[in-house]
Amino acid sequence: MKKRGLGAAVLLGLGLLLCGCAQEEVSITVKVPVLAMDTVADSDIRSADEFLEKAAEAFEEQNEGAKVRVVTFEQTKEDEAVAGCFDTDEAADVLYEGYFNMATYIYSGKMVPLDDMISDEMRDDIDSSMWDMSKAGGKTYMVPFLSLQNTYIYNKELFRKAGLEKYLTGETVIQNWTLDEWEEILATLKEKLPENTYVMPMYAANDQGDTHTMTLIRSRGSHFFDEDGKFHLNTQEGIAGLQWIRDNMEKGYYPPYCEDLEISDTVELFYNGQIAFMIGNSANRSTVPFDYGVVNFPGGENGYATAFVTGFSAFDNGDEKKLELARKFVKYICETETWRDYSAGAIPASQKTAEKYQDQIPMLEEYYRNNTNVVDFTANNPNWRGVRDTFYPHIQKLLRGDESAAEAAAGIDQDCNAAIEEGVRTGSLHE
Amino acid sequence: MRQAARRPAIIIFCICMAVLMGGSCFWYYRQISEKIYQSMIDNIQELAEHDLNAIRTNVEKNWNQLESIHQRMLYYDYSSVGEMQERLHVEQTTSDIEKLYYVAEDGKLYSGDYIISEDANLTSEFEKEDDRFVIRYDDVDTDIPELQREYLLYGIRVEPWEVEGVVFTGMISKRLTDSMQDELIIQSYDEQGSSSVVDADGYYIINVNRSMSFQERQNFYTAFDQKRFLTGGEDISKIDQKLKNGGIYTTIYRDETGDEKVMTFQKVGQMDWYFIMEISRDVFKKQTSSIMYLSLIAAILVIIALVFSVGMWYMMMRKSLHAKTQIEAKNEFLSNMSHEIRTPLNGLIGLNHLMAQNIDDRDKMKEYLQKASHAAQYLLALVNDILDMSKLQAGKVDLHIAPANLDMILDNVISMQRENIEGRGLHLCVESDIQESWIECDEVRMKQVLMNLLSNAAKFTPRDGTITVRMYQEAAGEVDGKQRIKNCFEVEDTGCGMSEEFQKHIFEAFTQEREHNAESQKGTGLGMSISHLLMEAMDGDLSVKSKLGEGSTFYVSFPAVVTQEPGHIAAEQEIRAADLDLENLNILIAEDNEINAEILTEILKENHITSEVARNGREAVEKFADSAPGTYPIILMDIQMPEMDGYEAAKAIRSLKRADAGTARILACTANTFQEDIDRVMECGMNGFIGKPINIEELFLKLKE
Repeated sequence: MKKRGLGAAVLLGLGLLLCGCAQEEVSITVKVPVLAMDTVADSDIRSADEFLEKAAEAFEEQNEGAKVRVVTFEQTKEDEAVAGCFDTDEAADVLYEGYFNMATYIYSGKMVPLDDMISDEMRDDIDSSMWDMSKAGGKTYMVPFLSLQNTYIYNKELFRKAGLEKYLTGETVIQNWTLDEWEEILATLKEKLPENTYVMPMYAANDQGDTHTMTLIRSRGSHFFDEDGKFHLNTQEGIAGLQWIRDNMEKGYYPPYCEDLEISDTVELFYNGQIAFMIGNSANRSTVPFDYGVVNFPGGENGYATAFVTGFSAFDNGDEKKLELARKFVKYICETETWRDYSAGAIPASQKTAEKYQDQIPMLEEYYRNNTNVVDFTANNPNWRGVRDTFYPHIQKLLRGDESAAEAAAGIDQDCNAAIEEGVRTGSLHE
Repeated sequence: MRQAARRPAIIIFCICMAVLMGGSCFWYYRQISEKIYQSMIDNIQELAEHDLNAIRTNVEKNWNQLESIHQRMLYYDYSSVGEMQERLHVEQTTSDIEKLYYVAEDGKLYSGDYIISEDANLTSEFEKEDDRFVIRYDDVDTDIPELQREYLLYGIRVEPWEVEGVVFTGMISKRLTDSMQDELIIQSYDEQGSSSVVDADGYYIINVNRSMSFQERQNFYTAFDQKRFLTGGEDISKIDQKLKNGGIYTTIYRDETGDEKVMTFQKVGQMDWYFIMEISRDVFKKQTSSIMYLSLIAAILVIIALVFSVGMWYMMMRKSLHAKTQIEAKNEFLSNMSHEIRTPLNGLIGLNHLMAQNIDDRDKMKEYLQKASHAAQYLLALVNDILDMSKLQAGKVDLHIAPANLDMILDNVISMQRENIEGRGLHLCVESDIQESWIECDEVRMKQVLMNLLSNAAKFTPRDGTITVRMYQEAAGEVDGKQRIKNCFEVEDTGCGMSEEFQKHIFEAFTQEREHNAESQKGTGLGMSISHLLMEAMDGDLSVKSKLGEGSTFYVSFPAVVTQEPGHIAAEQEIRAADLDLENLNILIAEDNEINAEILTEILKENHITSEVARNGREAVEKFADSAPGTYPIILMDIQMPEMDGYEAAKAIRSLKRADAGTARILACTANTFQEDIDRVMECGMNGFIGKPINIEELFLKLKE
């Protein structure tokens, strides 16, 4: 009798285990572009997807039934990787990337507000300026994880070869040169550098790296946006900035036919010692295989820098369970100290992390100090994707000589503002 | 009875037809499925061949493009390597090539992006013997993640040429894998199919249907083996073996989601790549299902039409056979009738002749007259049987249910048949166990059945044989408060018996078994059929058990309500014309047949009744109209007459405006004896009906009424 009772209990237990107790499996996709990542928390990590794979694995262990698939995409294929597959099995449930296209996704209605999952502690730990960049319509759509400050990095060896030692300083300093100094340096480099070695990067084959070009336009005093955040280049300063870009080409500072080059080509030239400057930040600086210096882009009193906040966002693709798990994953990464520590290397969004690693993060103080020179390059405009699509063709024409600086300024204002208007007209926030 | 016997045959026929139809549909479905499957395989192989050619063409095109670029590069004179690279940059940007390189003999690479570098991964293929190569190449070794791309690397050897002391011996182009991938998307299948290319180790060169991250190269063989283990599909090593012999190989497997996939494999020329095409079978199913269903419906309709036609043909054949049998039976019957009628007629004619010869011999005359009477009675019985049969088959028989005494019925029948039976040298044995003598039934019809059975037994039992009559009863419960009883009769003989085949048809009309003596052939062949129909009309049953040479037993049973002996039953009055007071009666006879008219006139005259004959209906009306009222209190009206028939004449008389037009009794006197004839007679205003041949006693009874 006892044996029979025991058997029944075992069967009941097995039945419950098979039928009722098994956790339902929910799978989410975390998408990330190919992003270099240098973190003091883990020397093995070279790219953002490697960090996310680790975090995903730990998340799965802690959450029974949760499956996290990390998918990397080429930055040139972001359209098809994100917006192109909304509501499909391949859709991104979580996106980790910079804020370049954030506005586009927010106004697609697919990106969900995350305010209810942001704790007071998290909100207090991150600088309010970063939260402001993460908002639209008063709601927070991204949780900042780290930021990268983009400046020029230059090849000190080439400077030395050109006899420009006087401009060289210690590695941990973000330099700033006046416009005159810039002219002298560029002209000297052009004159002194050997054949097949170029002075400064310029490219316009696609929209990649367009913030660099936008920042150079400011070099002659343009504010770039008007008070409403619309493009405002068709001014004396704006046209002068564009003309300077054109003049540099004519002076042979850029590689030949640079309008057909991509940013990656110039980066490759820099790494190969064939160009003096590269757009750099904490993430890629460490991979530079030679002695380099850091300098702000030309313009203003102290030069300009751009800041790329990178963070997490979640998408609603019509599956509540996936969305719930996506939000949980974002919260898990941003609130777990272990994973927050991976932001140390760039400028951590978390002040606690920054304090924890302040001695180990190269140039952290310098970047903080340089924050005042950071310029906004999106003004949180919707349809930034559309803006970028219309911006670089004008630069191509300018470099080819198909458009004058004035024509390019007017064309950029018209087309980019039209794209913004289109975003305002067609965009909608998640309900 | 016949319908009931036919039912199992119809059921078996229907089942056979259903099985035939089901089988045909199944066979058709299998055939068409097989055809569609083969067509699907052919289609896929055709598509695979198309895509494979696209790959080969693509690779050839890219190599040729490199050759063309190199030839164009040679047109120009270059003062420096930088100048050469500028030209190379122009070639690069004006083509769809991502990166163009010249490879120097020292292994250095000179790109269209002005880069001068060394990369063994790019140049190692030149160490092999091939003049051309194409490989998958990913920038995985670069320190800059943003620079990483998925490429196909095309290389050609070139005739060495020199710029600024640098000797170039090869040329390389980098193309994104998409450049080939885009050509492999199977548009015709709504992009539900995919084509891929793997290298010899199973790693994807091109994976259209990828779900993996950028630069994460799945291994097809690993994935396929996992699927195989899951689904029991083909072993990849076997597939590989088959492909080494060239050609195309197709297999079907079920993936982890349960979706059936059709997969083809083909080797891609000299590259040691394998081309794989994969399409969900659902795609074909969707494309062909409508055709399948339509053709299946068409097939079913054809089969139904076929079955219907066969059924119709069968029914018609049956009908035709039945009709033929009926005709044969009727012909036989008519032949019998002819024989039966001719026999007594022959007797009558012969007797007339004898009577004429012996007119003075009173004794002989008496004998001849008696025989003539028997012959005439037989003729009458024959005609009555035919009429009975006709009525029963039309369901128009009227049963006269009234209290009857079974003992008396049995006594009557036995006494009527005893002479016939014993006269044939047969023994008659009666066993009666009647509990309830008085029941409600049609006594006349009951007697008719028993008489028929007994005369039949007598007819078919040889001398010294025995006929046993049994009568008994079984309780049959109550209906509407009335006690019912089942009445059973058995007539058993030791006669010749019947074949089993004949037993099946014994109750059908016009049926007589052959192989009997002439005596047994006497009769119309309607007796049994009439008896059987009568029993059916009485809710009873008539059946037979018989064995050839051993005799037969007929079983009669019918239910009846048990009743009490009536207080007094009017004794059958034998009314003779002589007893009737009909003298001085004057009758108008409407009869077109002179002999009949004469006979009738003479019969009436013998009974002191005067009469006048009208030759047709019109004359009858005129005679009546011309006579003084009351001249003809009775009119005997034939029905079928020239000029005006009896119906019209009766109506005309009734419509006359004279005192006796409505009161004169008009009695139809006709050979039309069916119920509808009687009904019509009454409808026309006549008062009664006398059937021909006229029963004299009945005639006088009617006149007396």
